[in-house]
Formats: sequence, structure tokens, C-alpha cells
Amino acid sequence: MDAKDILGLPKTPLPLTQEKKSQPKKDSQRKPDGISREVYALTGGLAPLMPSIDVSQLKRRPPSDEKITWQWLPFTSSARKDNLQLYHWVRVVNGVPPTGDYSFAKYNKSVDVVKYTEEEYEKYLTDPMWTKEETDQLFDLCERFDLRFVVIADRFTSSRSVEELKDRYYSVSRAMLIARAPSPGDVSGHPLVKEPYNSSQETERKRALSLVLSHTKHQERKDTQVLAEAKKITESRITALGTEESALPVASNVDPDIAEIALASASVAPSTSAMADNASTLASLRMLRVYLRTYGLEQMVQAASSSAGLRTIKRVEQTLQDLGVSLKPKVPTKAVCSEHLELRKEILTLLNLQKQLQYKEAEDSQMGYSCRSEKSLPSCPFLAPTRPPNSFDTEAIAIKLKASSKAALALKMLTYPKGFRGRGEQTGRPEENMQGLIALRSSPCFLHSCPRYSNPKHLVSTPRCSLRKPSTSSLRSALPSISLSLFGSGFFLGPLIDGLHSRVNLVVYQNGSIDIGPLHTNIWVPPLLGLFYCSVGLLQLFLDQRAPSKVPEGSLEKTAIALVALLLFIELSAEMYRAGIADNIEAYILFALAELIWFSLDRTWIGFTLASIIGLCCPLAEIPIMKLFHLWYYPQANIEILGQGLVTWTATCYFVYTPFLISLSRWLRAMITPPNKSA
Amino acid sequence: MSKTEENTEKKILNKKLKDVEISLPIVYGNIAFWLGKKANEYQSHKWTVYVRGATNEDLGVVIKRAVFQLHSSFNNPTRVIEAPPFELSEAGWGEFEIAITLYFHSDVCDKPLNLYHHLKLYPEDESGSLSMKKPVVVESYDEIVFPEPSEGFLARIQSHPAVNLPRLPAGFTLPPPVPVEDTSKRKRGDTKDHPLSQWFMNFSEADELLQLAAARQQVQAHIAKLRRQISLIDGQNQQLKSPSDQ
Repeated sequence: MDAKDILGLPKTPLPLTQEKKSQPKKDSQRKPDGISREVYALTGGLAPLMPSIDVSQLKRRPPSDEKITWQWLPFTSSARKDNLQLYHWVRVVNGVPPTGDYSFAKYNKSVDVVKYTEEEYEKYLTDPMWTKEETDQLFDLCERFDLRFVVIADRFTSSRSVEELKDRYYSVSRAMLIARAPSPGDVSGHPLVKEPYNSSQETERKRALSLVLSHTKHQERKDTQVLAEAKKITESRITALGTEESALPVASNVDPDIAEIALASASVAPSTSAMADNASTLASLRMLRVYLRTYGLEQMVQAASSSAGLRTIKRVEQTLQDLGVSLKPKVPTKAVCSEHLELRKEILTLLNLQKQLQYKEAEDSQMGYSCRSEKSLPSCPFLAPTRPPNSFDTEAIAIKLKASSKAALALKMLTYPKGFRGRGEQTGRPEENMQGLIALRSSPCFLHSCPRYSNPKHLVSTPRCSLRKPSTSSLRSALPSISLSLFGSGFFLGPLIDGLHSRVNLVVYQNGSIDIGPLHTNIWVPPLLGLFYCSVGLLQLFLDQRAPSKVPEGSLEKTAIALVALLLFIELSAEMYRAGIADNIEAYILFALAELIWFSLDRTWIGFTLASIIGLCCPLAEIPIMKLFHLWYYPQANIEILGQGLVTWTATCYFVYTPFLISLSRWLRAMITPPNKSA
Repeated sequence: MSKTEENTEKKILNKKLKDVEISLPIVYGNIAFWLGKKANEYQSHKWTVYVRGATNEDLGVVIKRAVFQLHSSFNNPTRVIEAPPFELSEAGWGEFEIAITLYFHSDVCDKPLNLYHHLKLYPEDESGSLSMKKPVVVESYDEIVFPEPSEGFLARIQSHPAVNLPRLPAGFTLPPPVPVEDTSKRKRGDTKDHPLSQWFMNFSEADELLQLAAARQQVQAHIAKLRRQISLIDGQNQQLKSPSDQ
């Protein structure tokens, strides 16, 4: 029952035993036949898997009709020589005792020790080291002890070593074998004849064995070290031999006596440098008293490309073919051959450099991902200014977002479609909104904070180059802060620039206009301008992403220059307007100036396209604002579109705004992507 | 002359000169004419295999004899030509490789030189009809270079047009040339007026040199470009590494 516990079996007897209808239910209790009660109890009332001895079988052995008795009878063994009679129990069948020898007598084997006669001894077996008595004694002992030489040596009267005894025994047996054989050929196959006993070897072997046995651990370790060293030395010798052998074909055309010299020189300088090869080839060539120049060229070519693999050699030949040069010069003069050789060498160098360059580029593209995380400055052109997603960035952005109250607004702005126009001009209106006043009154101090805001602390102007596009992931992660800074700069800078126009009453503000000192603007102007800056900047960055060619750097200098250009342009337009220059003349002048500014600042077609689009769309987009919200109007409009008056050359102002915004956005991107690391 | 004087003279003549390399430009090849109507199964072409100077000069000053080893189906396949011009004319039907062994005069070189030339009877384009007038010409240009010529050899041929001598090192004086043979007795060995000379090919090294020079320029330009690119990358890597150490 404890077995059942161990096996985890249910205590109730299994249905198996109950299924047997033949057996009454009591059978599970009753001990079945063939198994002892105890065993049955062990298995917990179950039949064992393997049938144990079938007791029925056991019992079934029929009582045979033979009558078997056991008798105490004497016996002798043929193995014994003394006819000793012993007694043992014998199974007697029907009164007939068993016949035959003692069953164990067959195991009495003995060695056939050679027996020699006196004459044979005299003839073959005399030995200076051994007397006849000793030999006889030896053989007697051998027979007695079945060639157990250790015992024999022990019993031997004169102290002879086991090897000596063995040696004597085997030599005697061998001699007898050969002497008695009818012909030498018969016994030549006998192991004793083929391999006679070598006592010195045996002694040595035993000595070595005992030495090894008596090795200490320390010695064993030393031995393994020495063996390893030896292996290394042999291997290096083999490789050295290999290089020697490769130098052999060069000398193969030479006389045998010269070949030795060449071999010596080749083995002395087994270096693989091309110069050494050349020198050795030259030397070997000079050894030849006469040679063909084509042969000489072959040798030199082989020497030069000895360091290159087969594939490289094929590539060299391919390059030669591409260049239109035949692999073997048609007119092999001295000059031609040397030129050919030099060309081959140069091609080899070229291929090596190509491989090197590939290697370096591969390394760089791998390094780009890991390198940026260590760097705080985007100074490497080949590295993509990736932003590994580490916690610093998100923290910095989160801080900025929290700190700024315009965060929500900025995010809302981001969701606006990119086509949303920004503001270029503002109309000044004496109406003010007290709400906006407070916000804008603090604008002077914001003015100071603005540059701080948009220029992060890390204003180090390192040479920024971005030959590779910023990866989209970096841009996406920098997007909030870039857009925020763009919006912020638009918010603060835009109205000021716009103030240049409103000052001369080019644009007059209506609903929501306020006056902050000399600045005549509108409360809606900062956010609209912020939006304008933001969307144009982001558009430009998006275009930069997708641009197939190099994207120029974003630098503070460029941005500043563009800003100055913009300011001058707008001021000029304002002054011309104030001076009352005719609109069309002013338009021509401004158009030309705008082109000039684009040319000097940007000079890319995509920049031109963007500027043109902005220049066209933004004034048009002003129309709904003017019409629906009456935020401003143009007093001296010279064109009417959709029922609203516009000034045509405002398009040029938008046009000139674009390079500035492009530079600003690029610079902000360049600034914002790294500083978050060190933030 | 006394024996010692002869010996010393021999020694001087036998002295080997290093840094002076004598090159002998040769052209070897074959010209084969189709026999046309007279061609039979065993002799469809008449061909001549030869070794001549590249400028058709007499090679006899350098080469003592030439041995042409022909195909075993020819009678006496080993043909020895003792005197220039070293050429052999035969008639046959098959193309095989001819081993040409050049033996030089004793003061030139005691080792022979082997050349191998595949006898060409049929023109390259198989479709072209065989012409009796226009033979098939296959020639190979090569130069035999003697890297360490003996003084005697140098002296003998110093003004011979067949060989190219490099500029001798300054202060080098050669012993006066020893007249070997009476040139008037010998037959003309040059091939300038050889009957087959109209078919001889012209080998000019200028074209080859130009080609090689152009190729080398290209390759050098490529190399310079690659070097610039690599140094650029290296420079950027350096910049990277240095700030990060700060």
C-alpha cells in the first residue's frame, strides 16, 4: 500500500482487476498464483507489469519417469597427476552415475615450454651469460609457473632481472624453433621469429613507464606546456616552409646550383611586401644569364600581385581590359614593360583604396547610431543627426512645454493644415483691445526673453554641416520644440517687422487693433504671424527631409543676414510707399530686389518655388481674414481680388520673408536637435 | 701572343658587367601561303617560320644558331639553322607548336633560350576564303635580355644596330672591339631585303606607351579622388573623437 502512496495511485483497486469476470471479486484480495504474497503486497494489489516466474510453469515440470537420486561418490580429475580421490555429490539418474572426466578438468591449461636435449643445448643454445644449470632452472621454473616471469624471477636463485630471464627464455625458444623447423620459411611467420624479444627496449619502456607514473602534477603541467610550444614551433616552421616553396617556382627556370642561391635569398627575406618581392624577382632574373622580356614581365607581375588573392588579380585584369590595355603588351620593350608593371601596381592600389573606402563608409554608418549619443554637438557631416530616443529629450521637451503657456496653442497650431497662411503685413488701427494690451505690454520684456527662448543656452557656433538628411525620427522628436520656437519667434518678431509697414499706414488694423507705443498692431497679429513662421519653417524642414541632394547648413549667420535683408527690404518698401512712389514702379523695384535677395541668400530652385508660392498664397489667404474678420485693410490697394483690395507688392515681401524663414527653421533645427542632450 | 696575355684578355672579355643590360629585340613567327590549286592532302600550305631582328638587322652577331623543333611527322623534325637569317620553310597541312631554341655565341651566353610559336596556317575568321596571294602572318615581338653581359660581348656589339644598349655608366671604357669574323665573307644575315619582308608586321612601342600612359593617368586620378574621400572621412572621425574626449 505504501507503493501506491509513492506512485500516487488511488487506493481503490483499479477497474482492471474488477473487469475480469472470470475471477470473483474476492480475487483482488486473494493472492494470485505465481506471485508470492509479499510481492503482491508490494505492488499494492496489482498484477506486475512483467510476468514474474510463472509458478504454474514451475510446477508443471512433470515428475519425470526418471528416478533421480543424489549420491555421495568419489571422483578423480585428469588434471591431477596424483590420482587423488575426492568425494562429491553426484546426481544419479536411474541408478547410473554420470561418466566422464571431472567437469572442471578442461580448464587445466598449461604453456608449452620448449624442451631441449643436451645436444641441442650444445649446438644452439650456449650463451656466455648463462650456464646450462641456470637455463635448466629457468625452464623448469617457467614450466612450473606458466611463464609468470615475475614469480619466476622471484624464485630464481641468482638474481636476474625479469628482462634477462625473458630474454633468455625467448631467445632459447626462438633458437629451438628455427633449429627444429624443417625450413626457415615455415617458421618465418611465427611471431617469435618475426619479432624477437628486445630486452633493452623492454627495460627502457619500463623505465619510461615508471617515470611517467612517478610524475608529479607540476611536472605534468610543464610537460603539456612544452608540448604546446613545440607544436607552435613546428607549425610556424611549416608555414615558413610554405612561403619558401612559393618562392621556388621563380627560381625553377634557373640552374640547380643557382636555384639554391635564389632559395637562400628567398628564405632570408620571407616578407610579403611588394618591394621585397620585386627585389627578389629582380635578383632571380639577374641570375638568369638570358631571359625573354615577356618572361621577365610575367615574373614581375606575379611578384607584384603575390599579396593579392586570385579574385583581386582577376579584378585587376578586368580593369585593364576596361581601360583598353591588353593583358600582355604587344610590343614588350623595356619602357612598355615597366609602364605596364607600374599600371598594374597602380590598379592594385586603386582596388585596395576602394576596399578601404567601402570599409570606412560601412563603419561610419554603423558608428552614426552609437556616436551621436555621446556627442552634444552636431559636428560630423557623415553622421545623421539622429536622436536616439533617450529620456533626456522628452524631459527637456516636457519642461519647455510645461513652462510655456503657449504650449497648448502651439500644439493646436501644429494640427492646422500646412497651407494655412501666415501674416506678412498688418494694418494698424487705433482700436485697442485691453485684453491684448496686457499681454503685449509685457512684450518688451518678452522681447528680451524671446531671443533667449529661441536661442538656447548652447549657442556655440561650431561648423555645422548636414550632408546627410536628418532622419525623420530625429525631426519628429524635435518637432515640438522646433515648432514652438518658430511660433515664438513669429509671435514676437513678426509683429515688430510688421510694425515697419503699419508705421507708414500701408496696412491699417481694424478689429482688435492695439497700439503699443509706436507699434500699431493687432492682437491677432502675433499668433497669426507665429503660425505663419511655424508653418513655413516646418514646410521647409519637411522639404529638406525629402530633398534628394545636399541640404545646406543652418547657421546663425545666415539667419541673421536673411533677417537683416528682410528688414531692409520691408523698410525700403515702407519708405517708398510713404514717399508716394507710384505703385507699379515700386512693384517693379521690389520684384527685382526680391529676386536679388533670393539669389544672394538661397539660390535653390526649391527655395524659389517655395518663396513664390508663399508670395502668391499668403496675400490671397489674407483675403478671407480681411473679409470675414475685418482685422485690417489696405488703404491704397492697387488690385482687387474677390472683392478685397490688396497691394500687389506685398507678395514680394512674403517672397523675401521665405529665405529668412528657411534659414531660421534650419538653424533652429540644428540648434534644437543636439542641445536637448546636454540639457 | 703569349699564353698569359691570352688568358688575361679572355678574363677581361669574360668579365661580367652589372648594371648594364643588353636587350635584343626580335620578332618571331610564321608566314603561311595557301597553295591553292597545287594543294594536296598532305601539303596544303607553304609556310616559313623565322626569327628576325625587330628592325630587320642581322642577328648573327648574337645568335650562333637556331634550332627549330617541328612536329614529329616531319622528316628530321629537328632543323638546325647555322647562319642568319634564321628561318625555315616547309610545306604541310597542320598547325602545331614549334619550339625554337636559340644558341648564342660563347661570349654572349652559354645557355640556350627557348621560344614557342604556334604555327598558324588558316586565317582567324573561318568564313574568309583562302587566298593564294595573301598569306597568314603571325608574329610576336619580344626582347632577349642579357642582364649581365660580358665585356667582350659588349665591346663586340657596342655599335651594332641590332641590339639596344642602355646608356653606359659614366667613366666606362670598353676595350676595343675584337673583330670576330670577317663580315665580307659572311652572307648577309639581315632581313631587310627579305623576299617576305613586305608581310612583316610593324611593331611600334609608341602606341602602346601612349595607351599605357593614358590608362595610368586615369587610374592615378581615381586614386587621388579616393584618397581625398578617405582622408575626409578620417578627418571627420578625428573631429568626432577629439571633442568627445573633453
